[in-house]
Amino acid sequence: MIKRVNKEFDETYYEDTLDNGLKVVIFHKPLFKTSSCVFATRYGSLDLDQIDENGNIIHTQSGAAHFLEHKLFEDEDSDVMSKFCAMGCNVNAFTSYQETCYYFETSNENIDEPLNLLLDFVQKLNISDKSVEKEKPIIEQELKMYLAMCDQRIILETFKSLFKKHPIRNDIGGTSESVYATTVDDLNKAYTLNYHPSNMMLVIVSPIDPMHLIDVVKENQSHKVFAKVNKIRRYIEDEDEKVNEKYKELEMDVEISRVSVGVKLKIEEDNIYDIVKKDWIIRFIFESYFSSINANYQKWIDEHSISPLFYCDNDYTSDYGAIVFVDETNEHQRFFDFINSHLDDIKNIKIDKKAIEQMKNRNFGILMKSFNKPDSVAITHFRCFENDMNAFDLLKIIQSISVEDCQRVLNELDLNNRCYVVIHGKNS
Amino acid sequence: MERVKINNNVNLYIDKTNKFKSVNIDVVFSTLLSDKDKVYYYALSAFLEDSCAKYDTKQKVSNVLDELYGAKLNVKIDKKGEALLIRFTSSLINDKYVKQDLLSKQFALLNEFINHPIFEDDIKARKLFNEVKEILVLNINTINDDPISYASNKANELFGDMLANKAIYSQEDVNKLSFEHLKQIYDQMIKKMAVDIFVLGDVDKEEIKKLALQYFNYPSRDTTKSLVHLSHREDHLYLKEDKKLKQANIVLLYECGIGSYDDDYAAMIIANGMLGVLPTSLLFSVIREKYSYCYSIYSSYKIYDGIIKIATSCNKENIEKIKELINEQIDIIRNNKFDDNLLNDTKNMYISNYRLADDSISNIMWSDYRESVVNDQRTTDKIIEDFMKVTRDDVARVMNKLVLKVDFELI
Repeated sequence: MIKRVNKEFDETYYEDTLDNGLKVVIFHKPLFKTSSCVFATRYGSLDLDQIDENGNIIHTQSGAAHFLEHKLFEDEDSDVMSKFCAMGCNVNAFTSYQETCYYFETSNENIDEPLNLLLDFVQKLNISDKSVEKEKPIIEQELKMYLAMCDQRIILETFKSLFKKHPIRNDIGGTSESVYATTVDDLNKAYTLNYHPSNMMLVIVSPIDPMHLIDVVKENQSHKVFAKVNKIRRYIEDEDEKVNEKYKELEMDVEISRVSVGVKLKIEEDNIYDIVKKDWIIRFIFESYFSSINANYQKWIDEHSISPLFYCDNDYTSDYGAIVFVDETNEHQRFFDFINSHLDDIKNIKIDKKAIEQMKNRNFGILMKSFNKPDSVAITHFRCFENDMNAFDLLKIIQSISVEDCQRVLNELDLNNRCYVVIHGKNS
Repeated sequence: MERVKINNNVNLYIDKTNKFKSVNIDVVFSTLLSDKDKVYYYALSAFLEDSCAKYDTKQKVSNVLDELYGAKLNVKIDKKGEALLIRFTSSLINDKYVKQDLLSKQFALLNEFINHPIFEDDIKARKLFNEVKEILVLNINTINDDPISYASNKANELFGDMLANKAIYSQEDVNKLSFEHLKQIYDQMIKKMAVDIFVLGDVDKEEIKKLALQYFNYPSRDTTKSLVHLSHREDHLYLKEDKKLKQANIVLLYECGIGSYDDDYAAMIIANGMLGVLPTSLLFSVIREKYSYCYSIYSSYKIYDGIIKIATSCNKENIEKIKELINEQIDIIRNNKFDDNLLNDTKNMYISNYRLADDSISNIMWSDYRESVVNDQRTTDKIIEDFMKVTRDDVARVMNKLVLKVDFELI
């Protein structure tokens, strides 16, 4: 196990990769009582189709990653959650686009038992037709709950309008149809392919001696045999540069309409460091223009071009890229015109060096403060691992961004592939 | 934690720890919660958070916060029992990570936002006042547009008493807002409300005292408030509202008559935990896991109001079955027919979770507030001791105190 010390952040952590490929990172936080353990796989809702080394494409139902997350908590002998509770541990899990994370948190002075339980329950899938069928109505209720939330719905509908094939257009949990079509075989297949230790990471943040913790993990793993699996990766069908649906309207029972403009971006880079850097550069460009950093932002609010709830966000990843602008207004056309006119003009702006330095400062502070919370240390670290880096590497990338980088990316960006979505409210 | 009395009802509390990478300062103004001025407190928090005389635009505020490494400065409204708290919360990374004097800048920033609001410039203040009104309306919409939030807010309104004060203000309240009265509320805050300043972090206590006296040396003031008010309504109310939703929402409000300082407080927390807080809780294990009727179902104990709330989202046709099952689960605890493991596991979870609170900045700050301002001497260790003593009979007894008062269905 390699000990690493980051003097700038005053953090000590340990890294190891076990014989079975499992990557383990332990942050030693002796002043805390909390131990937070995250066991996660690089398998999320975007991994709908996967391709192995032989070129075989494996398809699963939309929402399979999320379905698996629900089912892993079941054990024939007893309920996993009850076991954690009996040990005084909070346990939970979540599925996102890129990953599925299982975690527990406790103030116990010895975490051998819950740590073993976390490793054991995630590394064993034991499902039957009956248990899978029982879960379907529960997931259906979960999907209905999110669909009724208009602020989440506008994002989902924007991605649906931007992308024809890319799985980002699907809800993380899938649809009622895909959930009811999911079988035990689907889940077993997805599990075998994506829960191999070499695709996973364990992050522990704890006051307990890291040498002891790594011994517990190694001992646990030494008894387990994992079938060799072909290397797989996400398979994404070629996506047209044009948007799927230029304009979309739908209705919900809301007081005020939700509106969005989406911009589809083409991925130009292969190297993950370049992609992550570009994601942050795009963030810096658009945040410096479409937020309170820009002196005009107040004027836009005063003129009612945007509301105080307006925001923009972007994702630039190895297989999809998008910028979204979201607001609440019953004058949707005025909002679309406003965003369009600024997207047409933005190419001509000169990036302000002060704004870029300002955002670097901001993100340094945000990352520093994330170390106040054991669970956020663990989650941030895993998310960086998905891009083959750690949180400190990410900071270096952010700090390396120059005004010239921003100007170059801005000049190169094609902002012309846009979609427009409006969720009409009852007063619109 | 060290207490420094600046003046009567103006106090400074310093909790020195090197556990965190930030220095957190809360300046808390508190008074009695009044229904009449409810909307004004929200307006004031939005007004004071937006800008101040020195940093009089959003851009200037962003600039100064980012110069301080993404500093946070928020103004929050908290309503506990019959108390209203206006909390200025600030968080900056500790000086030592950037080798700059950030602490004095943090105090100076709080001073600008608290003591020199934009009221000092009448034209700018009136313009911001109009923007704040728009924000308040948007906030109403945000609640009304989310069925779960809407149902919860509506149930509080229906209950009445102090609980109704915790529901969001109305559009009509916003329309009636007066700029002059908002200024008066601000003056009351500065001149009449109790002030408690909390500092948590790796700080030099003497320097903190000097800075606090420099900026917050407010004169003495008289004030009374109680964090606990047991809300009560006489009759049972059932209401169904049809919004043609694809998923129904149920909110049930029960009076339990047990507040934060009651001897049965620990038993009520454990009983509520057994009912519907944890994955082992009866509501979750029966209604979700056994019958697959819902994704989420929970009960929450409002310790400053003496209220238990049960809420879930489900298919319309299952509403009655779910209500029957909820009653059955309550009866299992009332009639002492639960498994020993349920009680023991719940106690273990709460004991662990209360210990975890020592690692959470917000929990420490709140615990410091409770301990110092309302003289709640129950330390984490004492509460844990109380949890350990809770028996089967205790949870059965407190569960028998539950009386259903509001039954709201949103379909």
